[in-house]
Amino acid sequence: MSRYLVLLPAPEAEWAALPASEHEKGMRSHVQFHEELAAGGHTIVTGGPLEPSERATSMRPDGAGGVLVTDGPFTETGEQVVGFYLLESEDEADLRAACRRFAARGEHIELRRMSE
Amino acid sequence: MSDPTTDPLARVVREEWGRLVALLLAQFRRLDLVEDALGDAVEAASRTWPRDGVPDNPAGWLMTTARRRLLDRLRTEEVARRKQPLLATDAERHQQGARTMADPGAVLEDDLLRLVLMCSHPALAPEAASALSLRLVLGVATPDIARLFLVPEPTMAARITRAKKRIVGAGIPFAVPDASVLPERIENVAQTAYLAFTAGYAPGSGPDLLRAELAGEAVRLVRTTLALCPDEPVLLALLALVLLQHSRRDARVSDGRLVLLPDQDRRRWRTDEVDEARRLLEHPALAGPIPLLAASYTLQARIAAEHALAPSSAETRWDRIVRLYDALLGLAPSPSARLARAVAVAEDRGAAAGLEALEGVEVPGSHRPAAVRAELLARAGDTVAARAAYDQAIAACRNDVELQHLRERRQSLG
Repeated sequence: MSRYLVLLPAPEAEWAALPASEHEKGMRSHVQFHEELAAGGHTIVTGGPLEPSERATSMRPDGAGGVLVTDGPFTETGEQVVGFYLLESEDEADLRAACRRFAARGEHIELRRMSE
Repeated sequence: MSDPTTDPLARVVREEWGRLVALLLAQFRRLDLVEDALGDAVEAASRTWPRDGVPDNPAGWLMTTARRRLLDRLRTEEVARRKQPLLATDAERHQQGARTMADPGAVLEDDLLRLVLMCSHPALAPEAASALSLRLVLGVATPDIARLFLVPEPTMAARITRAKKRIVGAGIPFAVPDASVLPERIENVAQTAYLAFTAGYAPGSGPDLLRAELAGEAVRLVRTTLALCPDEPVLLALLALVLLQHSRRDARVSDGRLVLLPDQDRRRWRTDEVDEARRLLEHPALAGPIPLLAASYTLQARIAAEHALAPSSAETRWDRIVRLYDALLGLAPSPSARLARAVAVAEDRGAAAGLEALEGVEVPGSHRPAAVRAELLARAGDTVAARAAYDQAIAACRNDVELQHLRERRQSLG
């Protein structure tokens, strides 16, 4: 049994500007992903969308023994993680196949296996 | 303008100019007339106050006189049936008319904030916004603003006039935006003020070698705005930063020549300003979360504070400065921060380490990376390469004072 993190990076600004029909299409694609995971015997431990990255808080050492706490994401890039899934699976090949189909439907995916 | 500490007119102009402009704009909405009317009022005061004595309420006197001028002008226009475009204001403003009597203080400060925000509106070019802010908020004379930005006076006068036309033409409002946008607009104010400040420290030539007193007006702009928004992180951090840099002004020039940081007489640094900056950096609002720009100003201020607190150049804690630059580069990588970090690395770990840190650093249009490389190569004993790097720096340098310095350094290589 391994755990996998499916990160969903996306151009946040573009996504927000898309019409409702595109958002619905995205939602249907997620539902299909859930169904394929269930069919393959993979478990969704948790997951879901994240609030916009502008509402994130980033923390890092301030170079003087203290902490620097800033508004917004750690790095200011167009693509930000907008959601994630934490999955459990015993069949990585099948999981990868489900992710590939999910990505082909328009999702950006970064698949990471948790190290033992 | 004469000395504000002894001349009551100079003092009231210095302290109240922005509020008077703001009040007149709120009432008349005529950006094209307000400044002239106030200028006329000041001129009238300079004639009558020495003769009749200073009025009990000097600001009120100027206000009444300027208002009278404005009404005269408007009457003349009415006769000519000419319509001038009015400055846009928010609807809320009109409802506030009734409140003015009950709570004049708050409304006045609100008007000043409207003025500050209007002058630094992002639709204006940054230099135009800086100039306009100094003129309208602080009453800095146009020739002084021209000197600060190293441009001829007519050029600056035209720039300010264009900026005013743009405000009216583009419908930039005399208004405080809602809370969701306000922090962003305050960031514009900070950047506008910092641009004016750094302009004052860009080396000029001749008697204008340093225009530090004028850069001090930019400090005043930050202070004025901070008084209106007392817990705004970006303004707290910026005020600390500019105070620390400004605290060294008296030691930066000697016999008309630029004195670099290591050679400055530290007894001439303004310790009261250093202390104030350190207190500002302890402000709870800076504990975060704060916006990136505020964090960047904070780190730059801490770097300046390391210099300010070192008892001597040799005792500077370059290791700490390197770590602070690392943190700064983590927030916002910029070539000039990398360059400054390389200098700190060289001081901390030697010229070879500095040269390694300098690898690949390029600042477009600047001679500084080549100048630093030349200096470090010279220290490392590589005279041939140092000479070539000095030649490169000299070819790219556009400033007489620095050019002279680079030539001397090259010559001293033998």
